[in-house]
Amino acid sequence: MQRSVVKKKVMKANFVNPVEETMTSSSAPSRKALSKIACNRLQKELVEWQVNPPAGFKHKVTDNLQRWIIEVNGASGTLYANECYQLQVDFSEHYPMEAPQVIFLSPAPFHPHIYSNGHICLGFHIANADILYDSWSPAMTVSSICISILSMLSSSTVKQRPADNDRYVKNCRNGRSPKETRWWFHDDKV
Amino acid sequence: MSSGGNTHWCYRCSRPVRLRVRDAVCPSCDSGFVQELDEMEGVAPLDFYGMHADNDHDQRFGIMEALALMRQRLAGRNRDVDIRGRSGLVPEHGLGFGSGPWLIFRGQIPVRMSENGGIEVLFNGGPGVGLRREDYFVGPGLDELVEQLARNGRRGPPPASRSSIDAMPTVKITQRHLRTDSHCAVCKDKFELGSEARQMPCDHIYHSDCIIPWLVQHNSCPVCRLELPPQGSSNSRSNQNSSGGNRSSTTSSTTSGRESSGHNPGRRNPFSFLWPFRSSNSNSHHNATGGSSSAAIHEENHEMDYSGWPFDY
Repeated sequence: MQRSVVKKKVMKANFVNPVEETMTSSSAPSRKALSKIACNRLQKELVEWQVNPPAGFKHKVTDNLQRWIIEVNGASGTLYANECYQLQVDFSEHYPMEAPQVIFLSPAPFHPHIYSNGHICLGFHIANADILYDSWSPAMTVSSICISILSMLSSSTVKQRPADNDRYVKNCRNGRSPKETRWWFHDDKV
Repeated sequence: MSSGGNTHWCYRCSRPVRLRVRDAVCPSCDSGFVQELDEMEGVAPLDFYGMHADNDHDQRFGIMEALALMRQRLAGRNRDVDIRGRSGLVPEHGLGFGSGPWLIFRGQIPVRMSENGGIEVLFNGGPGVGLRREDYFVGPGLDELVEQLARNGRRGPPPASRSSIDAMPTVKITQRHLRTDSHCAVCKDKFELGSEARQMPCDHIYHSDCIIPWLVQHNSCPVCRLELPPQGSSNSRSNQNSSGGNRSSTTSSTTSGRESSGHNPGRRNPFSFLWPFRSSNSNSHHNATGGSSSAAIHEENHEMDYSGWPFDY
């Protein structure tokens, strides 16, 4: 009896906390301010977006250059027609050398590559790579990411969560970002 | 084999201890951070640090956190605990760590070689967790290991070598350039006529300050994903241009063979249908170079010592 109490206390005090600290330190709250390069580039993208927004998307105007909220309208003729979702795009200080982090805000669309916490697995079985994070290039833009995400939505044939949704979402609870996940691809049909 | 009589594992002392009667504290440090050894049989090594070796990919991330934690602990304490990981750090499919790294405890936790050539962690004098030989790393150099793991943890193509970056020609922007590349694809700024830019073998041009920070992280043209050729190859027609400067010719000779890996078709080509940029150049180049793919390029990290790195705020 006594023993198990001791063990529990120990696990809490000395195990979990340091690990959690390490994990959360890399996620959004402690984000550093954008570098000058990142600022310039994002301002350019924003101007370009206003002139020539990708079809089906609307940038919600805020004064925060580092976090964009974007409305996505499901394309007509697809499972998501007439539905509207919100994407949250967070940029690191080193953008565009690093991919932005893109998630769906709740409620996230039901899709075999979108987890209920909004994380997106925009990957391809054949490539073992995720075009959001693995295959990022600084020539890509918010616009090009949006188009990829809409095409992922549009090509879906079923509205359902990924098979490992529960396990994945549970694992994310201590602050893990989707960029830290190496996606392991479920299928190449979507 | 020397834990005879010990009943508990003290996590603070990192060693097996024998508790005094009915006390649930370690006799040497008085902490209650102990666990009965019997309960620990079958506990995977990662669990000692709260890492759960689930049979899914998440443990690849767990290891980095575990390593960070271990380093903190090592800094303040004697090396009771050693970290071992996989020796074959080459990811076979461009993915991190294969079946997962392992922490193996040296020192106070007894470890012995087993008959089948594996290694066993012994608890309470009996065999605990058996590990296959491929799963551990033997040799000194904890720092190197951590560094390698960190590098493997990075996403995307490996860095370009310093010598191949240096050899990338500098060109003066002419009208001809502006017809094909009016903007730098990285910063999205317009090129100015007469200003200087760096030219990749695929002819894509970028501001020097834009392309180098990317290449020191990933050897891949941002637009078409063609890699810089290893220095010394005759891949690029305009290669030995004047101002590129071959400052480090010795380095280039030692690195050239290693980097003949060319590209990784599995990584790049499947995306071409999504790629919003022209890629005809790259395709022909890919076929021409035809190098076999290899992940062994992780050996060098040019990012750390490259003076052009602009991110030192």
